[in-house]
Amino acid sequence: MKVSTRYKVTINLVAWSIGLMLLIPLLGLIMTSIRPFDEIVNGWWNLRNAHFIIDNYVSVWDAGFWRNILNSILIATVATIVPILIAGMAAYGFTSFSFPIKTMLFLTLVAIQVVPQQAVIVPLLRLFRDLHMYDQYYGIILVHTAFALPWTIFFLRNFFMSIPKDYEEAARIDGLSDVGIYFRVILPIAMPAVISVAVVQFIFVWQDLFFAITLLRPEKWPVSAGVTQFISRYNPNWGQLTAAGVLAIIVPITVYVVLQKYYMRGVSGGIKG
Amino acid sequence: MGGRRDWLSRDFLILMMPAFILLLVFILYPIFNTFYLGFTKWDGFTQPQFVGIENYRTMMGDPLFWTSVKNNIFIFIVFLPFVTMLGLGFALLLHNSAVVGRNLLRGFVMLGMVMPLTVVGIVWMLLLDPNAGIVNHVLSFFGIEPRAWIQDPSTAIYFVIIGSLWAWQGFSTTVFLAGLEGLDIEVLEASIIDGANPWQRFRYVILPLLKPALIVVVTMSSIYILKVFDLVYVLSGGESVPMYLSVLAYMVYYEIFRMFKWGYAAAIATLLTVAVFLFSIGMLKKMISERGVGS
Repeated sequence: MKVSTRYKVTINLVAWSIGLMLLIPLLGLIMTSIRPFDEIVNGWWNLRNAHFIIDNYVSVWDAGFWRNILNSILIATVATIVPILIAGMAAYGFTSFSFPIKTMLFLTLVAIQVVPQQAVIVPLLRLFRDLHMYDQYYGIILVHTAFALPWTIFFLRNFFMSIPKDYEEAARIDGLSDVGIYFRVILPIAMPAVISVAVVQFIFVWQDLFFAITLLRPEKWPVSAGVTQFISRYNPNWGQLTAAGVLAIIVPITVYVVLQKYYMRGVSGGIKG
Repeated sequence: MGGRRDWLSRDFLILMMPAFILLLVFILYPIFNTFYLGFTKWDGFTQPQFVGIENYRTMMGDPLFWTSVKNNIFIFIVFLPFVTMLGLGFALLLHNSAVVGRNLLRGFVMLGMVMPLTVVGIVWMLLLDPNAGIVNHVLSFFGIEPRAWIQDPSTAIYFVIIGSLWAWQGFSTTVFLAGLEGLDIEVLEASIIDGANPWQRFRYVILPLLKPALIVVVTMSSIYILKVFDLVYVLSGGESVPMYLSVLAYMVYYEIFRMFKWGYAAAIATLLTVAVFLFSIGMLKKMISERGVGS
């Protein structure tokens, strides 16, 4: 298809103006976090007599925000690895065996992909209290794991079905058990799918607010909840607020930038709610 | 495929049990329990008391419930067409091979989707601020008076809509892009040879082929916006959320942690869950028929 120069220039102009507009919010966040309050009031985009400071970051850090960051890293990392291991095992079970309630279980998996977090919270709070899981890291990690299972099993099962049976047969002749085949043969082949799932799940858990504020006390809150402690509706301290915001997004944005390809595949393939 | 019958083996149990148990304990049982608890009067501490449809009757006369429903509906109606059209537009633009630096632009589009919604909230509070906000600054060029968009009860809801749009258009763009990449090039080329102009090509060739992507976008976006919670919570700022901004998902939280009406909260959670399922039935049916059951 031949394309005229005018068309090319126009479409690039349109695309890039939209692209840059989408970048303005992030730019505002960063600029506000590195400038003194009296300059922000005149607009963070106003660069006359601009001073750049790190005071906001220091005060947010000293206010204990480092603890929120560590909480997030711990919760998101474990709540990514554990569900993938468990979902992968179940997905392999689904691919390779037939068993009585398989159809029913599969339909259940399809259906519970859309369950809202609010649908389980009342009974969960009682369960957490009775089992002393409230305000425990492992408690929220187990809940995130359960919520990751339906779509992760789905995604991995589809990928496993595309792996030729020959690999399995060969491994079985070599004397590997089913569990052994899963860990030594299937999982290594499935690495691209596993990374896709991992990136989406990591970012998803990092973003979670509802389970964080309902199942944990503020000392164990991840950054998604921790930033809300700096919010005040009437007299916002923009410097601190935005510095906390920047600190809260560094990790997920880095993960995204490095693994963009896998993230896109995970989002469009996994259909995550 | 598969079809092995030795499912009573130790290996099979090792593979399946952890997932089974977790789903049962943390999702399946709680859902049914929520449904039951919706028929009880319960403060979370004493024993739940069965009261029949009492909670649902209370709901009908509860102004907060109706405010929440109204807000959910309004947000839904404005959000859905915008997120669909933005996603489709961005996807067509970013799929066009004439655009230079498409991968970088895709990164910009996805920005809002990668960060926690609470941070998205902070970003938009900043942009919409009456003094320090760039939105008022830009609007003043057009002679529009600066406003406290978020503090004003009549406009605060747009903060939730705009924040959700900025965060979620990345999803619709991604799904449409995946759809465009999966399109049959030959069909497109055939239509060009047949002399279809760009609009005809879009309307009669691309759009019908994008229907599966469209269904996913509309369904997932409906579910997403029905569950909107984080941006409303952001406005609590240590105090309580202004009640005119409540939505159903927020009301569940409010009744549990502020009012200690756990039975009432369960009833509202049940309604929300039913609504989400109703909106997803079409897509769930399709997923089942496409991906095959039991094979």
